[in-house]
Amino acid sequence: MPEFLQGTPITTLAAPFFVLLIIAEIILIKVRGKGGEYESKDAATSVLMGVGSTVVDGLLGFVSVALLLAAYNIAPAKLPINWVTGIACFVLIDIAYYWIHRYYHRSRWGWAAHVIHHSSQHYNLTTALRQTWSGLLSGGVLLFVPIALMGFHPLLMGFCYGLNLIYQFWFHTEMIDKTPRWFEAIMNTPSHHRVHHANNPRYLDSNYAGVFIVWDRMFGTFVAERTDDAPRYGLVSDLGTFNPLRVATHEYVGIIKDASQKGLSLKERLFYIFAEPGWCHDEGRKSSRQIKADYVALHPQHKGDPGL
Amino acid sequence: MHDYIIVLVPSLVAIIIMVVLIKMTRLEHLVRFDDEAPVRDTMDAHFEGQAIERIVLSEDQQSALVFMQNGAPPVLVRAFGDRMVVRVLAPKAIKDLSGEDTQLSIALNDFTWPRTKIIFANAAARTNAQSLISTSADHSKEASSHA
Repeated sequence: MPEFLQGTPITTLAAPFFVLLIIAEIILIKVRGKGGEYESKDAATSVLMGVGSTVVDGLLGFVSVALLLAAYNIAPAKLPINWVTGIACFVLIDIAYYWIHRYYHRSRWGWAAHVIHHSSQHYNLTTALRQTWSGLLSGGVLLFVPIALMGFHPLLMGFCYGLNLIYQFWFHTEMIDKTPRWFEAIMNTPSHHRVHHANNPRYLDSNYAGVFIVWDRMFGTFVAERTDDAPRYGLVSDLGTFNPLRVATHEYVGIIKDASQKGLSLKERLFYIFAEPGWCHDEGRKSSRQIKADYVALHPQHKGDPGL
Repeated sequence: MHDYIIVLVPSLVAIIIMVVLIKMTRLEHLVRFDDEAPVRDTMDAHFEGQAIERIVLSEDQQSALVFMQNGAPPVLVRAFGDRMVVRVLAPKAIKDLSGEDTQLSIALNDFTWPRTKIIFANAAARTNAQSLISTSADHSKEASSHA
């Protein structure tokens, strides 16, 4: 087993570089007078969410590792660790990430964990660090199990996942407009991910990719950034607090409140937990699909546009 | 424990450096409602196509009440750092509505929303707004009971 797979997680090693890049982004925005916005409480909340996520992962990460090791141990064949299997593992992790991410956005149980990452109205490098504290609870790790069953060692999977997350750091910025066309076609970029973080109706539920944007293009969820509809960042209903504990838990509180209302059927209670975010048994809230439909009703000329 | 100190201490130092840098570079422009323009902009983004009857700005320039046409419930807009947050004051959303002198206090059934105080120019304006919010809530309750 290569030593680098057994040491400190690669994301922890990258943390000082994250900090340096955030400082560089702040200075560049000041010098250029454009390319993003920073607000101190928002940025501090984002970094605190990242610290909390690291601590929770440190405490509970063994559960995911144990699950993946159990799957690996019953795999019919164990693959060696080399460049070829490393690259294959990296690609498979990215496909699995796409589907986990899609689940996070399409089921409220997954969204309750992931909403934290979307809860800032800013889009800068600190937003990348605004991570969930309850990833384990979401069950997303189950989608990595098939990769372990193929014979990829969980430590190699963890390393590839770490690389995936590190790649995702740099594109949380408005500093970079577009990259070369070939790169935009294959890779996830600042432009593609700005779309993902936007709450404009056409951009909701799109661009789930981690590293390779090709998965969105293949599975029909790709929407390109438009100059005539600049992304507005944040949630459909933005949070009114910077308190990290409330940011981390608010959607679970909402689920409990909604699912425990009087007079609901069992099906309605389950829908409040697992159906798409915004699902409601009455007219109280709107899902992404309803928001898009309302937008098209107001702007029929945009019917059929990507994302609508 | 030692591992966590290794994570936490540098992180806290990084946060302090970042906040100081943001303040020093004067990058943040905190929202103040000097006039109706920012409120109208955010209403347009959130409630496109819905007609506004009138806007009442809080004297502390930190919040605004927006009364809508066609009997739609009022909307509360609040400054949130350099951004704004909005909530529809539908009957189910309001936990407590109380007023005293020029100050109207609204608590919502929302885990992420602190109690908001709106300061009016005079007590009569406060009473009027409070009554409009209550009336709107009563109308909505009536409508839902007839539905």
